[in-house]
Amino acid sequence: MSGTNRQIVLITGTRRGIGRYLAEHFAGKGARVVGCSREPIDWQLEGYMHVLADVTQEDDVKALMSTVQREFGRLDVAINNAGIASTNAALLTPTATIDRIMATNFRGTVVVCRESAKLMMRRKVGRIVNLSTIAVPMRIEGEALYAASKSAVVTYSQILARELGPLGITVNVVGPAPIETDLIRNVPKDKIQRILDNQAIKRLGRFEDVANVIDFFVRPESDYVTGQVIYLGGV
Amino acid sequence: MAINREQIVSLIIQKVKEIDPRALAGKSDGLSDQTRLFGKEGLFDSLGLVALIVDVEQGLADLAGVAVTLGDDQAMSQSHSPFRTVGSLADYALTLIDESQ
Repeated sequence: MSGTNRQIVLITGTRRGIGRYLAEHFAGKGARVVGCSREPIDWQLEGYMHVLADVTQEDDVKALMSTVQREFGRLDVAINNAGIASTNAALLTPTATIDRIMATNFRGTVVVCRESAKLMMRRKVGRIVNLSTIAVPMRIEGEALYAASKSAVVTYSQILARELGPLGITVNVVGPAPIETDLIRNVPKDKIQRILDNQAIKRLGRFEDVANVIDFFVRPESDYVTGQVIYLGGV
Repeated sequence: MAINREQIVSLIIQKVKEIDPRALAGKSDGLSDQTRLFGKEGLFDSLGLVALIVDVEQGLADLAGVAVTLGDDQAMSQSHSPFRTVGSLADYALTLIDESQ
């Protein structure tokens, strides 16, 4: 269905959690949403197309972009949500864990940004939103690798914003506070409470909070907003 | 599908015309493999060159089913840039395609 006037939105990591919510959010607003995950999904949605793709595999990402180009002829918004977490004492973090976290959270984001921008630059317009975390500014013990990978996403996004600005593509970052998702399921309750105690607004985040910031970044009027990072919860 | 130098030159010229850089004004009929793309008297600035490379990479994939990365570290560090002219870019693309097969 190429030539549609509906917004074409790509979201990575849509099988569950924030990614699934964002897929429902954008589809609910009339967008055509393409999502991906490593495993099949067990849900369906009007206006949503799922592609099995692992963002750590360059060939998967290129095939994903080919699908977007073939089906819709363009890409308006790319949201890099796919991510993994791992809580570990820094001195006990296995090398395999370092590689796994960096491959998904950083390299995956970089490759999806690069290939998305190639589609967007043809029309000289596009919105890229990358997900980081408040663990970056909060310097949370036990999250060194996770936060470092997301810190890399922030720096990469800010420089990418400068390179893509002349092409009409904005690149921004949202850093959620803890949300009740699988990502924090294994984090001890008292640790979560300490994080909340350090926020200006002392509650868990909600999917809606993330969608609200992304809505701002991707709206047409935000074409003068790029290279920005918004952390939620008041960090 | 095999692809020859002439086809690659044609592809590059087609992509140059599609991008239509400001410096091309009134000269699109005179494009040849000697046409300077980048550097002194080149058609493109660095941003335009990136757009051309992306389009040529995609064009090669569409035309010959080959995935080559023209803008890799090797190309960027060569003292004689493969992006100087249409012809040098075609030669470079052909080299990479040969190496990948």
